[in-house]
Amino acid sequence: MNKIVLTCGLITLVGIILLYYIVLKTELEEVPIERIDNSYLGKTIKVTGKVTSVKYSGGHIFLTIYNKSYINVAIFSNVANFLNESIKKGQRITVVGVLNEYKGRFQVVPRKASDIKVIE
Amino acid sequence: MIEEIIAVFFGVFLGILTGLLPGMSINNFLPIFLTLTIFSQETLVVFIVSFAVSQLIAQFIPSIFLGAPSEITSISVLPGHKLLLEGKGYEAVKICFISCILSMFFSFLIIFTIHQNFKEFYHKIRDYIFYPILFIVIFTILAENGLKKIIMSLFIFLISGLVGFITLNSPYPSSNLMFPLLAGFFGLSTLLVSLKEKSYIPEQNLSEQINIKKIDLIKSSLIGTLSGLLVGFLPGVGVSQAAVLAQSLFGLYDPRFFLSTISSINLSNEIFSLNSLYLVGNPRSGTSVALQKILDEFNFSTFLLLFPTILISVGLSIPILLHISKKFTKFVEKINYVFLNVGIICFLSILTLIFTGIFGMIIFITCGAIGVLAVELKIKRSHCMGCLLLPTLLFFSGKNVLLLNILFG
Repeated sequence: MNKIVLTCGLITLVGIILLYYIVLKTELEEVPIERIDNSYLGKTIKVTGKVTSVKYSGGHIFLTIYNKSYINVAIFSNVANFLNESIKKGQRITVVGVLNEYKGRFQVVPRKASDIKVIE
Repeated sequence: MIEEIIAVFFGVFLGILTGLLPGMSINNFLPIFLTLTIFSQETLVVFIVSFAVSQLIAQFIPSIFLGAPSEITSISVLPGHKLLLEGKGYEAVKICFISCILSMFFSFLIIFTIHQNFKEFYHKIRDYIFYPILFIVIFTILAENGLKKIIMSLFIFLISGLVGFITLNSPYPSSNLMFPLLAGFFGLSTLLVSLKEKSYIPEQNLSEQINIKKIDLIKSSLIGTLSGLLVGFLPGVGVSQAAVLAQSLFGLYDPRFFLSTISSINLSNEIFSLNSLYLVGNPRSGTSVALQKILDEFNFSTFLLLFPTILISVGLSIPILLHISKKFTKFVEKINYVFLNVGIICFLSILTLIFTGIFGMIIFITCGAIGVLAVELKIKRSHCMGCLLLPTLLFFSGKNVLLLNILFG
């Protein structure tokens, strides 16, 4: 194995560890709902807004939140079952989740119950 | 009307100026443009569209002559630089520009033909995109010669994919991070390999002749336009992924075919994205988000306004840029290539540091190292596109959440 391969391999390894460590230790910044576009798809984002609708269906909870613009939040049963408090219309909440698209509309899908926080 | 025409001229002028500087994306300027509320909505839209289109076309020049890519032209560095080192840099630029013109007409034709049924078409195709992407990834890896190279390719694909996944799921805006990611894989590695191999820029041929048959140019441009359609609307599919897909599916390994396809993908993607508010009701790029903010309603008349704007912008930009690329050709011939490469590496590093900080710098260096690794292992550097293809595959298969759970708990 030549020196260049070894050096590049080492830089790659150190680089990946550093990137992983920084991402793990950095707090997510909030994304304004009106700024969400295609480039955020598949990314973990943090949004805050007022709950304007709550629907329960088969153990899942579907919310719409508003803060200058609307976005849907899909809390699937594997997460919804672990929520400590119920979410009501009018509450202001912060959600961390992966941005997906469902029927042409963006939706945030939290991965765990602690990703949903009721602010007020 | 006069105000709109002046806006196109200004848009083209500024678009060219910023497009010639590597690393300048329209997303850096949109917040400033949005404050120009003294102008009418139409004037601002026309200005932004002409800026976006001319900047996109201008970006091919630094990408080909300097090996300094932008986010969207990253994959064109490889064939473009290859032609430059054969003394055919001007021909490479000309192929890109002619393909852009063809792609513009193909895009207009497609949009006018299917705009009424577009939403339906979009939702149908979206559900099946995972399979062709997976097929292409497997196909390109297995296309390497011998088991050892196949394993190495898989390794480069996965490791690039891991870097891409971590980057795209970082707390920082992914639109900014695409620059160090792709400039590292395709720009930095190209420049480092050129330095190591002591490459030099031979005397450049400024002949107006291009060595590609008209029918092949039309074919690759049409393939590019259709691929740009995919990029413009499908979530998670970018310009570079579409270029790799088109290259593998249609065997576009000749650098001229590939350049023609990439430039067509770029322009048609821009045209489809600009019209996405009308066609699918959602913004598909930073520029279309800006248009959404400016306009009260993106209606049919706005949709119609975009076409002459794009047409004039392309028509104005290309002759100016052809003239500039002749000057560029003479410039790169005269300058010491080692000095030029070192200068570009420094310039890309400073840009990365300014726009994306230390985090972006780590991405830039890591991706550069992976790119050089691919060259040293004698496998195709396009496997580095795993940085975008792997996250795309995970997204469409719904497995991205699983990997997020494993990596970040």
